[in-house]
Amino acid sequence: MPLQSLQSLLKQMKAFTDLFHRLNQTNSSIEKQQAMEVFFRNAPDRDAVWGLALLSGRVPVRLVGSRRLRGWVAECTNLPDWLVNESYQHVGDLAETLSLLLAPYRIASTANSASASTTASTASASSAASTATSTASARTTASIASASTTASSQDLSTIMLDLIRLKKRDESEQKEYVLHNWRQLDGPSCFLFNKFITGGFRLGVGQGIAVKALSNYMNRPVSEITQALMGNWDPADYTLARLLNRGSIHSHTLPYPFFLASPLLSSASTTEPSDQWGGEAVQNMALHQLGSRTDWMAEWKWDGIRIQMILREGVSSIWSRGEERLDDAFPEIAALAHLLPHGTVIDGELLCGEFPAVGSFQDLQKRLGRTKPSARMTTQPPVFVYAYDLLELDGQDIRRKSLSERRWLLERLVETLNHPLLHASPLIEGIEWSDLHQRRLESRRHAAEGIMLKRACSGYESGRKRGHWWKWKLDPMQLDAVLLYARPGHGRRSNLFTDYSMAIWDQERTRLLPIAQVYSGLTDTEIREVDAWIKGHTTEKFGPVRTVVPQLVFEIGFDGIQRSVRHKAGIALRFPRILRWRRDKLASEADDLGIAEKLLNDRNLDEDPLNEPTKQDPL
Amino acid sequence: MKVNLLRIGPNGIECPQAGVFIDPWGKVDRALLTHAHADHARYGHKHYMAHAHNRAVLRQRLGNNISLEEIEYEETIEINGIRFSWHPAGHIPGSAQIRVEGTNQTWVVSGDYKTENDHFTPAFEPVKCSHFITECTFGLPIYHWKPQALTAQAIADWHLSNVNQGYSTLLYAYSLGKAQRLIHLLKDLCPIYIHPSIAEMNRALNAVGFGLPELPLISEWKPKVDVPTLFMAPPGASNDKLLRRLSPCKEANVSGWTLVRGMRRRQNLDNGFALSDHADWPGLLNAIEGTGAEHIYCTHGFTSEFSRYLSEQGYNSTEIHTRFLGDAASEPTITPETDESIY
Repeated sequence: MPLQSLQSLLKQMKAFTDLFHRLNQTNSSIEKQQAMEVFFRNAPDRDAVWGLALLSGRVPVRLVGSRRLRGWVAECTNLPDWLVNESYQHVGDLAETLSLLLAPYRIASTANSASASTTASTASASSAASTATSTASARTTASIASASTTASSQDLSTIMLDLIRLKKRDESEQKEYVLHNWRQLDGPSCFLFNKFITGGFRLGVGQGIAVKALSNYMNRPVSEITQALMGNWDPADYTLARLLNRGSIHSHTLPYPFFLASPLLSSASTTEPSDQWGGEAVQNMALHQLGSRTDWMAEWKWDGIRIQMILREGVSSIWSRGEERLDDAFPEIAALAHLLPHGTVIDGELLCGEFPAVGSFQDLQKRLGRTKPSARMTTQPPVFVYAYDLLELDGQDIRRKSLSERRWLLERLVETLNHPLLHASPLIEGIEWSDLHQRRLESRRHAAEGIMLKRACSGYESGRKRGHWWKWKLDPMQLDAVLLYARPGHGRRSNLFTDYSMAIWDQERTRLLPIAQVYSGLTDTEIREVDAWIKGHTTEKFGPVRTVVPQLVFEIGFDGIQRSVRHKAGIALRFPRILRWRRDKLASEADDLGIAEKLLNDRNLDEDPLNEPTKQDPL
Repeated sequence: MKVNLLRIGPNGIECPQAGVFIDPWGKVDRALLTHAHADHARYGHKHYMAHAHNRAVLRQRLGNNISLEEIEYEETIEINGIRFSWHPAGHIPGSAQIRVEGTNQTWVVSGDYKTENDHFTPAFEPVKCSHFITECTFGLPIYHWKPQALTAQAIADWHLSNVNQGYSTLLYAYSLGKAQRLIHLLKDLCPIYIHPSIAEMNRALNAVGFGLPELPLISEWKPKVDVPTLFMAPPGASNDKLLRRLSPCKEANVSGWTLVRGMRRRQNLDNGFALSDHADWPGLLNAIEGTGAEHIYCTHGFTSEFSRYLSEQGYNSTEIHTRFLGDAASEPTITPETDESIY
């Protein structure tokens, strides 16, 4: 029987399952890349495309909701619902919980159908028919039977296509299909299958590694492959070769890979231990290591959406850094893009507000979530674009030209266009580094997060290549808050309490008000320590959530603060995270609402453009 | 109301009528031990009674001069009218369930146990009783062990592929119990180099007749001279200087917890193998059924979940709080999940 299941594993989407498990068994990027090269070499072509889509997070399928799946597994395994839920809480991953719970169910049925792999089509048809209940099941069964058999014995692409097809069918058909596969698939494949149907498929691998592997395998440059994989594409439509030629077929709508800046060590944090930043600061540069100020251009680091605006062959497109099309959400910007000269690509920041006033990121987000805004609402609240860079001019890729030259071309273009929604992001003057230190402290007043430093001679690279572009962010605002609730994390952190609700005192300092949800920014050792503490200091349990004795104090940092009716404290924080554990503080010494209000008021004063007559630097 | 034969007191599981304790955590006069793991066999009692296989291990861990009375399986000791006997628990060498028989009740304290026969430790035997105190370290239905031969094969395959790529293999296994079981499973496969603390336990077990092979120490392996091989060390030694010289080396933990992917990944090791000396979910349920007991007491592990499930299945089940740690017992370094204060 074990041998049997091993063989069935080898038959089903072998290359992809192998890849998945090889990736799971290593922490080395080189080995991950090698595993992917092996995958691209061994997988059927269409599976390679699906694998690539899955690896880069393009998972179109979420067949069934979590509650329903838990119900089905309780039914199959004859376990009470609450026990399925407890198991889920312990494992922290639904797909894995399902596969673990199904182990005995699966083995029992593999024994029955051990020899059935070749006659699977009849076997599954009859088993499906026997479980089908409705009168209309004959038609259903026939259509499902073909899907079921292919899923259990065929490749990744077939399973994915089945899942997409089944998404539109009713619950009983989906259930039949899922239960059939639960019986047929062995452990590793069952886990992957569950990952697919829960839509939770993720691998601990960045797209960067996949791109490098593909680049080696196809013998094509990394930049070309990165570009070919940009934006939306449906794996069902492509072979690997066609996908890579997509660059030329759809090239007129595709953005260039974004060049990303690396964090610069701020002067204040040079003496702090680096591990609380997840090790990132270890590799950081300090300002004094950059050399002469005159080699660098400085501008504000705006807190909006990084975009590329493209007009080629009469077609405009707006892409976010997250590779999403924003044309529909921001029609006025799409209209602006139409006015660009042919063959133009601008890199810039989409900001909320009426130029030159910059609004909050939260306001910008209001534009994103809408599905069908009314005509009046489509352009509210107002937005505009600060252009950073020019990547393509007259249809020529000019990314290799120096930044100062591109900037000069950009300013001329913006000037010629003279459009109220498009402005060049102002450069920050100042001859000495010390001037910049000073200006950086004013960032919040300009509604910026800090300063960007770009080497004047730099080309526009792709990805996060270190050395030429640095982001020099403002130190976060801070509050000392008390740990109030905790719940377990997911994945690597499952079964460890890593998600915390933090609270500060109210004005009277009598009651604790939750103010932020933070994921632990602590070191692994601290996480384990806090986890053990939580387990020993729980006062109440609500499902996965523990209420703990209000005792531990953490310094939380955040980049913005604003009023909110949705939060108990009346305040919402932007990007809150733990800066450090204040073992030296008692809960009674934590901050209160008065201090938070002060931060809020300071910020609002600063941000009111009327109070800031010198807001715009002259270009 | 009928007085129970056993009860939980501040010092541990107690039989007041006989004046003895089973695996007590407070210091007592007479301690009856199920096995020699540190959370069950504590230092400082006046007099110990344990299965004879524990002789050398207990003396090594608790001191050469402890007062220890050795008992054989099935042998019955009578203390103040109460009859005590030791029965194989299959957990580790020397492990036992302790049966306590009074006039109206028969109790069994399981200690730690596993139901799969590992062909090294005397195999678990169900013992009839009316009251059963059971561990439930892995008392959730996600825990199903594969037969140990399959896991051994998986370890062997992985080791082979490591060696083919020029790596050695380092397995983390508790020095008492898991290590010997693995040695027994893998000894014919390839040379095994062991950590001194495992060698120490091997000697203690060989002194009572377990016949483990003489294995070289990891300190004897010469980097860049000797070929890649298989190493075994307790998880508590993972920061040991001794281990740093073993590279290039792939590391894996051998523990029931590694069945869950998140746990495997959190350890930041290269692999994990779910081989446990505790009973899995079906093992626990079968063991309980095998005792014929009506009253079940669940200790260390998923006590509240497991006890609730048993109640729904018609048992008279309660959770009790002890200071046993289950699988985090002997070397609680890698996975502190079984902090008994939680469950």
